[in-house]
Amino acid sequence: MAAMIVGGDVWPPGRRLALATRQGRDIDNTQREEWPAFRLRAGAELLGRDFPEAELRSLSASYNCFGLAFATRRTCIEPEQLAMILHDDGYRQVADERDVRAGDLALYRRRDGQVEHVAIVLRVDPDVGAARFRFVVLSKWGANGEYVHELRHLPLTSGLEVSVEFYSERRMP
Amino acid sequence: VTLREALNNVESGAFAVRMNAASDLATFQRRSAREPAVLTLASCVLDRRAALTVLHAALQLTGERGDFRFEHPHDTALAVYVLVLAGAHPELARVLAEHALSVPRLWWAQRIARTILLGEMWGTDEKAKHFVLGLPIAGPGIDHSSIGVRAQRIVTGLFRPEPRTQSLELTAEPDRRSSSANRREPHLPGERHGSACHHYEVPSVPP
Repeated sequence: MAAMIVGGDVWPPGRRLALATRQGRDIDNTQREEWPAFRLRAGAELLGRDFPEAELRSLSASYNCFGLAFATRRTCIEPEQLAMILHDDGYRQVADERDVRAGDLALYRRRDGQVEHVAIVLRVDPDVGAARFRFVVLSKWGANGEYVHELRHLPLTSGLEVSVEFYSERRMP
Repeated sequence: VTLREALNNVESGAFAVRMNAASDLATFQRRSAREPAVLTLASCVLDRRAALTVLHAALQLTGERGDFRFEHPHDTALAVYVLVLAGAHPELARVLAEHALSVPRLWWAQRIARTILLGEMWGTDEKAKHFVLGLPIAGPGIDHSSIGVRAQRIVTGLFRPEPRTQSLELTAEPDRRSSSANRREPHLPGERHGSACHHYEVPSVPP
């Protein structure tokens, strides 16, 4: 009995877009192949059961959360690119939650220091009773849909505890 | 949970949805280590027969290309299969990783495959080019000690844009000592009764 596998390869896989930071440095990225509609819808149905409060905005597999935040939904960006993008695009950390505004970014950082997810802040509502702020954000859940959700109501997948940091590129000349 | 149940679970749509909530490879790998089906597989493949069953299942999945407009329908399962094999049988993982590089429209599986093969190239280069392994493919009447895997990777062009070719040959000699050798059931796709040869054709893809 024998099995023979013969072939060439695709190297590297995926389509890369010309993308750069504000200072002109290349942002490595790969456009992911799209998923068929039935698969996207099935995923949305499953996630809708686990996160019923989340509002589905759009369904596409071709970009990830970093691509949503930094490439206007065109492609996937790896978190390794994040430090360069934040630096070159003039982002700074917003230390006080009271200073967070719509349009700022929420970075979900694991205990090992790696950023696992990013979301765009849509709304900041004061929760007077709880003496804190309630953040409504927009983010892309991997290859699944793009959702409007509460800051911590999302399927983070590493299983590690994450802390949320806010960043802004706002300029007030 | 049996091996078969774990395989079915890993190949399910619900599993793909959970795993594909990950935005990057590190998160995907961490997530996989929390999935019960993956843990079952990782445990099962410590047994070489089970590892070969996983390899066989993976090779079958690579043949199901799906709609050319979309991502490979079994990308997630293939990625997990490479991962679990890498944990117990790096040589089998390498076989699957090399094949995965020739399968179009894979996302996670090709990333993991590249990670394995590039790590290998930076490590023991010569061993990576030619190696002889201990076995694959389960089947009644097969003496597993007689099965060999021979794989050759032509690394020229790995870092260059031109297409490269690679070949993988899985060989197994029926156990002559076993009385059931002649009653072996076919186990590979495309297997012909009375034939000992199986071919997986993977079209060359221009860079």
